[in-house]
Amino acid sequence: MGNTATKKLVILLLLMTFLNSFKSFATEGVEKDKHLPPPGANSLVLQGYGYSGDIALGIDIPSDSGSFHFITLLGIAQQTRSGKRHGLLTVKSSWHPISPLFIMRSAGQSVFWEPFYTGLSVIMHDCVFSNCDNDRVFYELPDRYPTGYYPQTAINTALNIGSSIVVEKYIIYAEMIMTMQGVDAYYHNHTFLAENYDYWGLEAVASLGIGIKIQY
Amino acid sequence: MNLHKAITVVTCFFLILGCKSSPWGDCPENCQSERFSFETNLALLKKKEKSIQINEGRTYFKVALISDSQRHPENFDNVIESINKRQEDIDFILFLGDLTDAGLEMEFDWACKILKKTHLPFFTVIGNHDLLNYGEEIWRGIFGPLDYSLSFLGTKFILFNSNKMEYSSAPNLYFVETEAQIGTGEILFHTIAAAHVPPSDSSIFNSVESSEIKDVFVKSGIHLSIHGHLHKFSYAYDKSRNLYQYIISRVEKNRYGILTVTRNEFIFENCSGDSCSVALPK
Repeated sequence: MGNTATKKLVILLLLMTFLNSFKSFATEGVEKDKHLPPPGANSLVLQGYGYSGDIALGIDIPSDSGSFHFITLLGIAQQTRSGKRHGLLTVKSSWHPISPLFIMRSAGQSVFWEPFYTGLSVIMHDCVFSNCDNDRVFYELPDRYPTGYYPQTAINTALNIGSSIVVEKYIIYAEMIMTMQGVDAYYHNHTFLAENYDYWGLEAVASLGIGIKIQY
Repeated sequence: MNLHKAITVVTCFFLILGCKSSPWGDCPENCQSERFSFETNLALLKKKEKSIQINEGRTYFKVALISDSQRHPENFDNVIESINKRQEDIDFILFLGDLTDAGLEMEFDWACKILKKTHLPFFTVIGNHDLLNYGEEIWRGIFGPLDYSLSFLGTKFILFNSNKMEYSSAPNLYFVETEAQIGTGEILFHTIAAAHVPPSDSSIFNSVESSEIKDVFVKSGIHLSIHGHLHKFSYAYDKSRNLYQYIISRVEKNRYGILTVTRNEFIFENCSGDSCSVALPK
């Protein structure tokens, strides 16, 4: 294993240790506030960007403990150059290892902060469900190619990392989403990306999504 | 800090990161420049040609050949850096396709970021991977036509789309034949074809199609074709047609080629970083 791979593994291990320690530290003596929303309540979701569309609507269904969330979003995006629109279906699962932390009261409301969650998404172009205007965005490889020649181009898998602010039944979140092409590029070309793009190169491979969830 | 300020600070921080609405976007931010267009680069090339004819009088020239940079922007960046060190010696750059792996907006963005670093004229041919998703539309918007020709110091280059699997009308052999015709008053010492997929690639072209392409080359006065796609340096000579074929490696390990064209011969160098060795003539 080369030096770069070793360094990355060490950083990953340190991050995991920090997160575990942070979780223990942060939950000590936290005020248990009756205004913390129930962890297992479903939510309506409205998100902008984050590879799910200019705007996307959906639902969030958490597990009873609130540790896992399953989100489905239907979005629409307009291409800048051509002006053409396409739909996107995003199916996300996320892991929430840290319960929201009380940070303050404001205007009679308790504000909680969930510092970190992570998960995986599958983002589908609407070609998956209908004919596309070209056969180069596809769910099934066209017959003219041998099996396995190209991966499906109408589907992207992605990694999400996010944080949220919780006020009563409202959850405002920000997520960084990286498709697997972006993750692969970041892993193999980290030096180039960090030297040429902002935010340690993440600007080149990630998209920010901002959204709001309303529990019901 | 009150609630509103806290939300504003957090939101503004994240907003700076950049919001992209879809992986299938078609407008890479770093490609929004005329620097990449065929017309701009042709004008740069013509200016250089005039300067050489007036000031230097040399009849030979060198072209850097790069191919298949997909998934390796770091290596592509290193190659451009190596070429830039020789920009007094190299006259222009030809990129032989597969700038991207899936024709995605972000991949084009990385490539444009790199290409901005060279002052040499550069010209491109589209690769099969570049045609995936909305790659063709993005490519045309950045670089221009998929088939075109240019001349430099008595040599004509015919650059065309040979991606038969992705483009039903490719290769356009009528275009190749027409462009190869010598115009009134035009003096040509060589005509060179450049396309991503070589006609010798039997996984794309059957033997009849391959022969047809090579026959068109010969009929058009083309005796050298240069390609990428196969990811390693290779050289072939079809004796029956007097037709040379030079294939450039992908950029992994900082590889690229240099073609020197003189009135009488072609010299091929295989390069890795700052080190080059003559592959042919032996």
